Amino acid sequence: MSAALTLAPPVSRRLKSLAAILILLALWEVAARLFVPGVNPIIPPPSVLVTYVARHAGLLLISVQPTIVAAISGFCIGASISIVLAVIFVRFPTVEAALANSVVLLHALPMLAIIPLLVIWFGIGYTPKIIIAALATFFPVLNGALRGLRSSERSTLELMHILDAHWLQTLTKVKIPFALPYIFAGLKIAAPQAVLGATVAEWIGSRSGLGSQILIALLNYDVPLLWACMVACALLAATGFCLILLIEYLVIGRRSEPLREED
Amino acid sequence: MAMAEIGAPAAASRSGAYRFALRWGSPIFVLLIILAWQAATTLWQIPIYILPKPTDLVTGFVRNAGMLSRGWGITVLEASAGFIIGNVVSIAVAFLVTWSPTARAGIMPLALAIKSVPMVAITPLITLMVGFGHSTVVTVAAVVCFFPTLVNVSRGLKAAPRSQVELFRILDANPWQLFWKLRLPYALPYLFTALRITAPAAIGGTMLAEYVASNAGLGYLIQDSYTQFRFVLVWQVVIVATLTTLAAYLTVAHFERRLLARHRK
Amino acid sequence: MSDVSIVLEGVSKTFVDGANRVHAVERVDLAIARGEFVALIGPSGCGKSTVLRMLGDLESPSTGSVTIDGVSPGEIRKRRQIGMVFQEANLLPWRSVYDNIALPLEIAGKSAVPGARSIDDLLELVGLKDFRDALPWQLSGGMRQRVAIARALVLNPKVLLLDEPFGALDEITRNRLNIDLLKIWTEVGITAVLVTHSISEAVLMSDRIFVMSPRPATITTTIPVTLPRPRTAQMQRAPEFFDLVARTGEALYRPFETEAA
Repeated sequence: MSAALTLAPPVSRRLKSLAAILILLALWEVAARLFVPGVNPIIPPPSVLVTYVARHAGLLLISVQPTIVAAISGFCIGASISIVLAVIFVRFPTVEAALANSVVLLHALPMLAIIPLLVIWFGIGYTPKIIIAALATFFPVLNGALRGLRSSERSTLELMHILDAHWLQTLTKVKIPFALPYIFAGLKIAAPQAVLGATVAEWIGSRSGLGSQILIALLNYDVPLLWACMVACALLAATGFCLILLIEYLVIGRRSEPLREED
Repeated sequence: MAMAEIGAPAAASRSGAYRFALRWGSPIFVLLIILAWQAATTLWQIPIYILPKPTDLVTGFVRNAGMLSRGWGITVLEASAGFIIGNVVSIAVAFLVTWSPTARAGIMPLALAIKSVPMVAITPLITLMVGFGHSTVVTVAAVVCFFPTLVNVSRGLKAAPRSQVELFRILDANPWQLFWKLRLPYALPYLFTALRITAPAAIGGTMLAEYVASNAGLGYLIQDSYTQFRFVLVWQVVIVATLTTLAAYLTVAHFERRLLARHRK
Repeated sequence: MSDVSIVLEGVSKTFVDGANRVHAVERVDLAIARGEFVALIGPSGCGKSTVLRMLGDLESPSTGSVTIDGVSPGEIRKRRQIGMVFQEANLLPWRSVYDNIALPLEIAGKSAVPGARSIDDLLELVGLKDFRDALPWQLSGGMRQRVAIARALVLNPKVLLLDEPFGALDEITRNRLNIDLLKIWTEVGITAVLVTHSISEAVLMSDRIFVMSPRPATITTTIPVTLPRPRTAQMQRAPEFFDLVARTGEALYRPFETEAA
């Protein structure tokens, strides 16, 4: 199949989706103005939200910044640890066998519940947020990296054996390149999770950031602020996702057409 | 929480040490941590508010048993209700989306847009719309379950290979036969993937909602015990919540293994 | 000529999988001369690949001994004197044709391989000069196998192990590649062991055919291929060729026929 043929449907589908979103926004505007009147409606029309965001851009930027910092730091830390751990697991299966269930147990820890403990240990500030964002990143990336590091074709590994390659050579020249699409799949799941983790942590463990702004808005019944925070939160998550997508394209985009056709 | 990869290494090394590690690694590891924890807290006399001794947690369990079990019961009820409602609605929408391209064009972009909004941001809004209390908590748990199931099931309903669909067409099968004998068996693994994700997520979502929008349940208990500086109770809630999440995951995984035994070689 | 390169003496291989023991290979003896081209043929799943994999140090024999030039396959492997072509080309998808062929050089460390061939010469040899910078997905299946052959030869190995190298290709492509492979083999002068389940391929390529029985695999018949070299595509229509195909086929199918009787 030629590139043009495979590209054609998604573009038209994307246009349709865009049209659908625009129609929905229009419906929302009309419905909100007709059915949810009042000074401070629970569902404000999009136009009100846009003007609100424009007016309070400064405040929003100030609240978004700490969340971004925490999410990015946590994301980088969590992703690095999980990739290193995945390499260790794949190199030493016995270590994985011994720790596997404990890692799953760690995964079952409810984020919300450990935030207070982190605040007790590290105080209000960046540390609890970063740890939570790192934890949220850790599992999707570990899962992707493990799957990816095991995805190398068996005969390719046998070829490396015949060439008497050192395991580090096999790792860097075969296993990691084969694992990259899987690692990026994990990173794409993890990026919005890191934003979510940092924001939840700000509910409890911070006086700054989007999370605490959301709580303030809720307590003050400031509906437009709440909506603005929600949109900001969604945008942050989406931006993180797109950033990883871009990096993925730059790193492995040229590998093959067939590989990228799915998804 | 698709942890399928962890603990599933390639068939390579199945040595005695490996099998021993797989069987006993985690119990030993957890035991060692508890022992080290007890030893450290005793030896360095760490204050209870920084790190309570494991023995403190156990003895405290008896004292807090009533509060914990009440909170646990409410959380499990709310999470189960949300889990069932969210998944049932989501499966219905998945069918709609699979059979009607118009519905697909209208619903999927919206679903994906909402899906990208983190729950922390949606929960307060749902609180405003639904009001303080159980119904908000159940709604949040249902919303948490909705999207993973929608994405997975709508993918699963299209998972049957084209050649087999054509075989059914040649055999002149009616739509019901096509569904029961072909589409459903292919969709089941996708459904279970979704359930494995949503069962623990429902509990997380429930606690999140209880934290802001309820005065009962484990999520509320976290907020309450933390603001009252009852740190032993915080720890106990952490333990109860972790074990509950784990149990939810393992239950679904168990059913999956039993129902899908035939799918695997 | 006839100094011996590969020797298998009383080689057996048993796989243990839990309580099951599978006898894959049973008492195989064979000697292959330096520069010879031999084929191992047998029904699928008979264990012929296991024999080849023992030569490549991918398996070790349960009993008996395998030597290449008087030392173990492991030793030969550490000297990087084994070239192997698998059924799938298994090229690394992110590397160009040139970089894929260069992989063994990188693994060995360039300075450590005095006998290494020039990649450009190899590209010429396998007829891919114009595809030097192409990525694997831009090549056809046959071209990918050519790259795999070039990669197997880059360290100038002493033995070339071919595990059904063209098994996944259509017959027309396969025939052309076989003739080209023979040309390459003549030019390089290397001991080659081909595992195949195609009778005509075995006859066309080899000096001797070892026919193997179903599991546990053992060599039932050795057929010397008397066709002159260089072999050509036209030879496949000669009476001697058909005669050899018939004899190989007879040896190959005999175990099944006695079983049925």
